[in-house]
Amino acid sequence: MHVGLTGKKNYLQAMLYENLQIRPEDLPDVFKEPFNGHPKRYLRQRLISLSILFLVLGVGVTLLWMTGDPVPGLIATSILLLLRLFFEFKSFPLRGYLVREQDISYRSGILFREVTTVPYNRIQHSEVSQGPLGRAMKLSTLKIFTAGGSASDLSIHGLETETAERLKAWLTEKTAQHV
Amino acid sequence: MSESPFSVPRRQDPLGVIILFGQNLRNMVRILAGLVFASVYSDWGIFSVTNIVLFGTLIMAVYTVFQYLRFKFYIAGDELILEKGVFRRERLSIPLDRIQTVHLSQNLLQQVIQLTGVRIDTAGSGQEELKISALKREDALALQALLEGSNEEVKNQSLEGEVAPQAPRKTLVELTIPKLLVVGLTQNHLRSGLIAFAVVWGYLVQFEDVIRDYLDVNLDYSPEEVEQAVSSIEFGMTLIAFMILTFLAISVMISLVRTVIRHFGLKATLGPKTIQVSSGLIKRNEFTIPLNKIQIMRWQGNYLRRIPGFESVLIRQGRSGAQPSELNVEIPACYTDQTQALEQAIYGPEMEEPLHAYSPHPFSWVYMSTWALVIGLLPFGIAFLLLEDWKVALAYALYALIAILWVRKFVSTISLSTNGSLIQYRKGWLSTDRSLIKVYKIQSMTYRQSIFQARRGTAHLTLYTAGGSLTMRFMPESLVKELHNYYLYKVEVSEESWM
Repeated sequence: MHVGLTGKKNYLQAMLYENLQIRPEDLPDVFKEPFNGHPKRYLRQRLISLSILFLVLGVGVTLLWMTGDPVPGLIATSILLLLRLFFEFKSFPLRGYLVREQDISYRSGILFREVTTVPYNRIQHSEVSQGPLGRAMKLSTLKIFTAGGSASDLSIHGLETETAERLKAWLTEKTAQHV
Repeated sequence: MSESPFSVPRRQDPLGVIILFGQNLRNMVRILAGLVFASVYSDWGIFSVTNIVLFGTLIMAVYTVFQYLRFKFYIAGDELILEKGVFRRERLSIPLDRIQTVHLSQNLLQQVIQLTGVRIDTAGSGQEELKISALKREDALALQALLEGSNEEVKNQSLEGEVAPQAPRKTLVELTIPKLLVVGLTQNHLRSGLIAFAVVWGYLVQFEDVIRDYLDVNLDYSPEEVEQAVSSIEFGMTLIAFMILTFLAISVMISLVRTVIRHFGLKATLGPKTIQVSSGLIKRNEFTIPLNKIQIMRWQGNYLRRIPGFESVLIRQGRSGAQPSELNVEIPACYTDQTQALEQAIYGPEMEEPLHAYSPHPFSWVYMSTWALVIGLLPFGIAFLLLEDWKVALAYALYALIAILWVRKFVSTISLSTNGSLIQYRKGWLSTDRSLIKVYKIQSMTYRQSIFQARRGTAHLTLYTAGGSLTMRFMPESLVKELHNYYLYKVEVSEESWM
């Protein structure tokens, strides 16, 4: 195939051009990195919010069965709650975030494992927020926004407020380099 | 930029008052429709409702005039400024380099008065809609050119002067009436039918009582007669056949009507840097899409479209979450030549290197069939409980057989092809679906694996772009991990503007 390499610009480009071989096995592997876990308090926060949710559910079930016997519904709700709590305990050690030079990842789940990665050069902005329960626990959420809708945004809950702020500052600095 | 007519604050065209009034009226009707409907069946009497509506319309007319007077827009420096609001004043400033798409549209009223609406999207999440509703066409075009021309990338490219600025535009697709009808007849009728069914069902539920009253009055048969008639088997079969035929006929009708309304007079042209698509019967939409802003291209075909031999193309741009789906650009009736022209224009450089094809995990059909069988258990289970007939189990076995064969066929059509700068994902048998994404357009990625998948080593990979996502299901785990790492590397070293 003939490749036209005429003109000064093309020549300069060709001089500067480097094309090193990239072997897939040499690339940094996000799946082999040690992820940073959450502080233990986050597990407590999750358990509390789960319990509140199920308390509401339980009250709802009782009200629905006002005319009949609420016991079967309540038993079902309790079994569900126990299952959720069990998986919450089991999956907690798997939760974690990973900050690398070029991207940030979050891993979660035991029944459904997930790893989401957002490169810094695709982040629009980030923010730190805190709910009432988080305030009591001194935990914050780091939200990372990308362009176009919310599907690809990433939220990392249950971070030490200080960590969240530091991460946000890091992201802001990193994303500023790319704009 | 000083000679631009948009550098001083200006209002919309004076006739825009009528457009704004029309918009407000439509919103009011939407809100009050339920009220009027309810009042017909209640004691207030129609008279007082008429009064309320008249009074409301009068107030709205006054409001509209103020709304028109308060709405001003101009370009100051590198920002587009919109000032608006009657009770609560607002001043929106949009940095020009954040503007993703500028698209023109004309609804019926705008067509009559010959004014054009301009809609501006920044693809920020949760950004409010930016709309200028009433401009003369030449003003709208000038504003569009100015806003899109200010995009950094386009400016840089034209400064280099390598591409002739006035390169001719090539007509890609032009829908004549016969072609439009072919497009309508080859739509996915099942989907149109189901959508119609859902809409009608929604209304039925809303006005259930009213309809029931009406039906009760008009039913002349005694319940026994009806029951007797329905219970006879021939009648049942005839009824089912009749319902299926009616459903099909209505579905085809709806497809046709939807197609004509949406794609009437469609014309798509391809320039060196943009695609232009204009179409629509009642509301005319006009899109100008810079090629470098296209996030995902999807080619969709179906068993009917194979006869005339064309597919429809969906173009996804970066867009904010709030943007309605009607703004998805579609070019129906793309033949092989046009598909090739589009691919060459958008993905030419990326396609030079050959693509490597990968198949889903050999075990994936088992997962998918299991899903189909589990989902099938529910309706068949209910049927069994109701009919208490063992033939239901036989029917379920038949369903299972068909489902498994179907899934096996479907899985064999799935393929992922990639070369490090381009991703092509193809799937589908009766209806086909092929997506193309440039790797550097990816803005985040998710690896997913259920505990069942872990045993066999399969996983899903979802690629998110600013214009939507693509999920590749049941691929081999090692491949998914490798691609995750590889695409991250590619995105992170990319200097190209992905938005």
